[in-house]
Amino acid sequence: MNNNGHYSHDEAAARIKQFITKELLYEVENAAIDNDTKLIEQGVVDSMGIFRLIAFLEEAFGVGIEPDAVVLENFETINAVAALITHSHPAQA
Amino acid sequence: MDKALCDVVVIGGGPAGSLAATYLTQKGYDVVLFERAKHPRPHVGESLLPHVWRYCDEAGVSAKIEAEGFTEKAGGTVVWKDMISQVGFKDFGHTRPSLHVERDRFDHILLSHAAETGATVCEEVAVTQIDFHDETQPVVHYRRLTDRTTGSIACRFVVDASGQNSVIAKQLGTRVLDEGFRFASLWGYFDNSKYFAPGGRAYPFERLRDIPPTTFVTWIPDSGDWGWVWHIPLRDKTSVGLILPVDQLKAAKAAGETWESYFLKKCVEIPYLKALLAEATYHEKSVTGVQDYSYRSTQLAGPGYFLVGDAAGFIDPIFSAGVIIGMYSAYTAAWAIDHCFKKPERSANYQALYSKQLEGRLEVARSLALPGYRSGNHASELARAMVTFESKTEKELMATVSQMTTRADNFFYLIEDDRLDETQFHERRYRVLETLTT
Repeated sequence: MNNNGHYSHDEAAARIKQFITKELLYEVENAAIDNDTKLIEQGVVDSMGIFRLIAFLEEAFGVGIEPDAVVLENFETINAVAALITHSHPAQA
Repeated sequence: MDKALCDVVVIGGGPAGSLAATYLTQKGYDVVLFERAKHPRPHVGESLLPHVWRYCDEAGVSAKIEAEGFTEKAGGTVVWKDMISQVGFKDFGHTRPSLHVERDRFDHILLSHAAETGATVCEEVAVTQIDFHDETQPVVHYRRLTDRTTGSIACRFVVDASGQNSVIAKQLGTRVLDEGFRFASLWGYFDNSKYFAPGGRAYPFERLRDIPPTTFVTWIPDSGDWGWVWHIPLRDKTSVGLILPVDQLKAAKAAGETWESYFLKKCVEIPYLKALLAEATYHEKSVTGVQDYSYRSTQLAGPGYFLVGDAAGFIDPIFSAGVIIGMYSAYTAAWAIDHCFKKPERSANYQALYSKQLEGRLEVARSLALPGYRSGNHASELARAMVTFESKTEKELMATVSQMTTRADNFFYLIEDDRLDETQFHERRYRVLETLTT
């Protein structure tokens, strides 16, 4: 079971997409992103946004994001973030 | 201020300290900020990149800064060896202005904003020592500079934003000079200096309000790749500074020069600068200096503390990145502290995340700024990770500024990496000019 078994990849991706659209793209008109949009390259997630995204992931999915996991490969697209989440371990209590 | 306990003590009321205090107060924490000086107080570092706005937006202070009417600049003019180039931030998608600010005023706005947000701000108070015996409850000892009385306050976290004083790093013995990069800086102020506008023409100072200036940077020919000059028109005066190898300043001193006499001698010697200053009036005794200022702290966070801004490290100010790194570190430290409060069992993780991100960012700044510098393996890896984490536009901006001087070889070493699409670094969005008209 992944991440306590609560979320499939698609469910996780949908929640992440909703967060990014609502919280990180609120100033951008007609912002359209999909699960393969390059989040970092296109500036959707910037140096501040990455911390807000990590906070959201820890809170919403009950996982702990390790410092070594904060690399481009894991945050390049919504699909990459969803893969990170569904393979992450729950935060140590 | 007779509080004996609070959530967070912030040492220092510069931009990093004031923003950290603001962000933490907004999150509901009880914050006490100690500042040695009484604001407004003079400070160097007057050129700000447009990136400051997102941090100011987050703090809710942007309207106050806009209302102040600081000088809006159009970009940068660089003379380096045989190349003259100009760059504008609008070419990199920045729609809001970059600024030249009087730091006494700018810093005062940010500090007052922290107080208005609800932080307890205590000026003319010097932190003397921090007792970390109980890592979950550091005790900060301080002295009031007005009446010399002392006091102490316990807290959960200390944010060290004490600038070049680096209170915590000095106490812990973790502050090290960047050996091999022993710079000194001398700076002073002039009335009625001309300035360079986009296109490369010099205008008299009174045109500043209708023809925006650029920040002018030029190398100092007799100091190799090391020395350089800044020329920053402010609202009613112009800031001029020299960055020199410490040895060059020592030699001048040995030859009988004072800091002021040497500064003024170089100002009438350096090509282009001397033309801009030809009819300018020097503010008597305005020269200030600092030596040996490139340093780093080997530990950026630990149990009970976070270092932000210049207290974490100071490089060479050539690309005006200092205030941005200060604000970035304030934002991320506030984030980390908030999470440490919420999930104390994961505190070490948040400290490590903070340290890693900031160390990478400082290393990128170092690689862009220091001549003949080469990152170590660990630092290279962190810096590469940081560069890969920037947007395409930011990478292009880094690539562009790195090519306007001949000092950034290390930056190109860093970006030789499989994870980076190198074509992003072949963009050169600066304009090469044949000449500057004075």
